Amino acid sequence: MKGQLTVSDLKFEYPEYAEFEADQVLRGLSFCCRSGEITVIIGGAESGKSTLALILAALVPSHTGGQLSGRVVLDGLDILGSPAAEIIENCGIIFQDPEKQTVTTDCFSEAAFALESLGLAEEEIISRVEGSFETLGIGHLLESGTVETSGGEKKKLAIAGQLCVNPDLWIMDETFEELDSPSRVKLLDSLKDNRRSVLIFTSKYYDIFEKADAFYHLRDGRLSEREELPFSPGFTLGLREDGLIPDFVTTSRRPAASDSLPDLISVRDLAFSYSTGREGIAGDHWAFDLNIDEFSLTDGEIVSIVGRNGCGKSTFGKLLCGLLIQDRGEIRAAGFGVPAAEEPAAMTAQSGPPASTDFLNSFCAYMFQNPDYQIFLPTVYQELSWGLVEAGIPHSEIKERVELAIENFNLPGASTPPAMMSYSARKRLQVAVYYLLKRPVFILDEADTGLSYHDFKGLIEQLRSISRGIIIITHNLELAAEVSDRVLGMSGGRITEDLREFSTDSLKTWLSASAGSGRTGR
Amino acid sequence: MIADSFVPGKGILYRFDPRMKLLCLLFVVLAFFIESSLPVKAGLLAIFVLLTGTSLGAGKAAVPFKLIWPILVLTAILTPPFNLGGEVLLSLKGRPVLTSDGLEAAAAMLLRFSGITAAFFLFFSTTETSAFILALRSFGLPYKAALTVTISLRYIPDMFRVYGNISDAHKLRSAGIMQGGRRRGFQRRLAHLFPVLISVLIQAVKSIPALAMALDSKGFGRQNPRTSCRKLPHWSAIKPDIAGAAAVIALTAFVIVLL
Repeated sequence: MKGQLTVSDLKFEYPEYAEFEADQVLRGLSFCCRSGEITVIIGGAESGKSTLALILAALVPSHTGGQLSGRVVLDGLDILGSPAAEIIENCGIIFQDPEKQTVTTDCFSEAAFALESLGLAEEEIISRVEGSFETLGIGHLLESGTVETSGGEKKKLAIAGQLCVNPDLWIMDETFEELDSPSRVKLLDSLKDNRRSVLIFTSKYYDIFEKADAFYHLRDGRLSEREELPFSPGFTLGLREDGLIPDFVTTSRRPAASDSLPDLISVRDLAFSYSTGREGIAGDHWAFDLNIDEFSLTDGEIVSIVGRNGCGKSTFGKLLCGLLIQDRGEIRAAGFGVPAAEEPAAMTAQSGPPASTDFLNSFCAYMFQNPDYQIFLPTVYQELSWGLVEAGIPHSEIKERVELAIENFNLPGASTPPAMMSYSARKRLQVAVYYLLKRPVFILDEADTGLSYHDFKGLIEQLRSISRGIIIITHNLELAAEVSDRVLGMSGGRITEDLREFSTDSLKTWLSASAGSGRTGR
Repeated sequence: MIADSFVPGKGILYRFDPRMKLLCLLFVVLAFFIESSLPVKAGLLAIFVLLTGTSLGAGKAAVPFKLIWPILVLTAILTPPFNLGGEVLLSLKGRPVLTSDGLEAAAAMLLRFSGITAAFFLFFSTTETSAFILALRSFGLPYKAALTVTISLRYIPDMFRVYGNISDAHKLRSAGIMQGGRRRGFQRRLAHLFPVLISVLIQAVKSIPALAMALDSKGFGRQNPRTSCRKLPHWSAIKPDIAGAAAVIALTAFVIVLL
């Protein structure tokens, strides 16, 4: 059996940039991945997971520059001395963001691309592509354009492309993030059945990894010793210190929000539908329908929304903050009046007239999964002060507020360029921006992606202290069960569960039985 | 406009060989450029609007014009002042602003823009991107050049999507402050556009090494010969399509010469 990987004393640092010294990302890693085994490398944000994954696929440093030393040997083949394109049958990688791995315009061509590179015959390519799509349950995408696929489908498409080639060693960079719980289970079972060596990089330990054979903890560019289940106390402690496994024993649950508290935001008979496929032009392959009969977020409440990929969670979140406009129904928000940066909204009204989209835009902070969408200025100070300057607040007051925000959110310093900050620090900066704008409601759309349990919980604690209500859209049921006052289950574009009593297990049971997306054929 | 405009369907235009469609498209575009007769241009445009309506649905016939309406408005306004020959139709303080030549030049430009846009819209609405690329390759375009076109077509909608997301993100961030802030009107819109464009630029630059890595990870540039799974039918199998394309080209040429 093939797929025996041996890594010895691997060191790497990215090139130096003006005013910034190169930091050693990997500091002498040595480990092995045995033939046919599933090995999981767990590490927090910026621990070097993606860099290591790309090095093992021979893509770094050839595309990034940097100093690399050590040895990586796969079945006797020197990976570091091989061109990446020539070893795709030996080892294949699935990127953290599958969007970045897509190079063609239709799903079939995308999956067939690597097989064409290998020079396979037409019949063989068709057979492998169709077989892999069937295995992953995405046969309906064979004739679709890549632009039509959802986030979860893009991930499955990338996996299908890998399955077509089926290399001796699979490298999967955060592939289990953004997939709903049943899809994760199915994927891991498929990997077990496939009997190839698999190296999974993840920022969180999930229960399904019980089926894996070996584990390593990546921290500060160094790797722990090989570990198998059950974990040794030292290994568990290390993961717990970095917040990589759920450790919710010490968490103090807040008392459930009282019914007597006013609604912060309420929704009635909300309907929204759109056609996808050929957005704005024609040719609707399928359509999406969202129907929310009733929803309310009580003042002080934290509500999580869970459900399978494509069930309408993000669409609902975007309707609540006015980024999408409903076809029917109304959204009401308390404290009607535009909450300018200077004056927070007065939270006195139980409900006002239906809120305009402009009002909802300024009432809710929608935290995009990618923090870089909202960051654009050269320093932390400029980033934080931008909104306040635009609002015409005096400079002395701006300075005071910004310095306080930097301290409260543990940001590296006023003159630090955001681009040089860690992923979790950029997420905190994103929150700090909205903190200064005094938005009452925060909507977090899969904001836990790439963050450890610890980092995400820290973020929620900070938000809890500055906001009036939080809506968390997530696939992470452990986190949902831990931090929420209430959990809503969405299925087929509807809220089908409104739970005040729940546990991770009960949510998993519900999700396994729930229907999928809100797509309807048209 | 081109990217992501394919509309699934089964009509005759969908069954027409993409190579022949491409030839017809090139000839029609040429005709819109060399033809000076307004009625012929208008007739050709009417044919494309009719074909679009029947192939894609009546509602889609106006889509190409919606896509380019700012250009059409600017053309209608700016062309007449630069063509002041012929009969004066409108003057301002004794100076002619609209003449018969200006009106004719504006009409010609409008019909040309509209016609070419309608032709391309119809082509890309009824031709899959992969078929378009195969057609280009069958006319001798090297694989790497064809892949460049594919990647461009793949990234155009992607950049629009990124622009939309970033624009949404900034809209939320600036909501409630820009309205009441120190900037007004155009200045405010410009102030909103600047951060969006910077963020899009950052994302675009970041995607360059990622794209190179993606191609490498899919074996692009291997030493062995590359195969192609999707192929267009052999020329001998598309004789009716060739005849159809020849007829379209001959008929258009005949009308142009005759009128």
